[in-house]
Amino acid sequence: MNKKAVTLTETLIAISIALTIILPISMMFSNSSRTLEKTSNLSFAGGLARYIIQGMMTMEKDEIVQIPPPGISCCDESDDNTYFKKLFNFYNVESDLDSGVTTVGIKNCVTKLYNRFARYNYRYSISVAQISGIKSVSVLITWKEFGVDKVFESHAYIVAR
Amino acid sequence: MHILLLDKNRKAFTFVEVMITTIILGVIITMVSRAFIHNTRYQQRITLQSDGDNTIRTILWNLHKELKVSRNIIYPRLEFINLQTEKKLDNMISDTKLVVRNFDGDIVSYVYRTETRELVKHVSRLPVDGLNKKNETKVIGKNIDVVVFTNRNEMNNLVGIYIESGPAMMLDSVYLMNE
Repeated sequence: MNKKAVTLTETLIAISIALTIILPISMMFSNSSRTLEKTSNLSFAGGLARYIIQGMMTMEKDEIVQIPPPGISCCDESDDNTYFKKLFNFYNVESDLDSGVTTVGIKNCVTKLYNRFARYNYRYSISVAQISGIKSVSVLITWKEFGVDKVFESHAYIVAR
Repeated sequence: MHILLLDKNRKAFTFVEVMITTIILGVIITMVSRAFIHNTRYQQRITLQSDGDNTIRTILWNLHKELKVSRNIIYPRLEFINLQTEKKLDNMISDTKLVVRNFDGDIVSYVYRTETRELVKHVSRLPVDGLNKKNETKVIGKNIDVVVFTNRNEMNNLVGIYIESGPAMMLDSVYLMNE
């Protein structure tokens, strides 16, 4: 009867203390990963908006048209996807050995990029207003991140050709 | 001289107790070490992503600054016809090299070197008043996995840039204004 043992209460207290220490540490890693992913997605969206706006600089004024929300998916394969339907042309991969476009990694970049478009459901919509020969363009990039809708907006004035 | 006496009241761990303790300890150690390994990998991934994002942002900042005041793209050029197939290119062409004529008329090339994972810039300066100016070569980006430049229109003044560094990637574009 005098035999001492660890009681259930003691065990539970010990487990609680251990969890109190371990959980915040693992949460810390998880939170920093989420923050980084958010930042990364935001700057990726900024790049996509620039890709569209810079493309508009060389377009005819009739070609810059309104695309209302929810917009067009970046990985849409139809002709409506003016800006992202085709992003690369490695036609000379096999014939031109000096081109340097022979690595597997480079050939895979198309797949990687479209996978990212699909994973976060990147879409773009465009609103256009005409102000005496100058087009005021607003590009909205939207994506889904951890189940939450995100948006990035970029604005530009374009002197259409 | 000491005499070792056996005390019948002396307590010790039984074999079952030792076994149970070992099993519990084993389970706890396994859980903790798995969590530790998982978090270490997580941390490595975060570091790689962060470094990649920083690398890409720095390179793109420099490329934007230099390219937007340039004149036109010399290579890859869209009116180029493949002599073997006699096939004219369609509306874009991609390569790991980009050659442009900058604002001063100098020839500037950006070349991705797969073996060193570097993006190198080379400037061939035009002679001024019969005097040859010094050419320049410098590394403008390290730890890059993929760089693809795409000439996006027949005017040869719009370049698409795709860069990958570790798990980070970015698609961007620059319009050359001084054609």
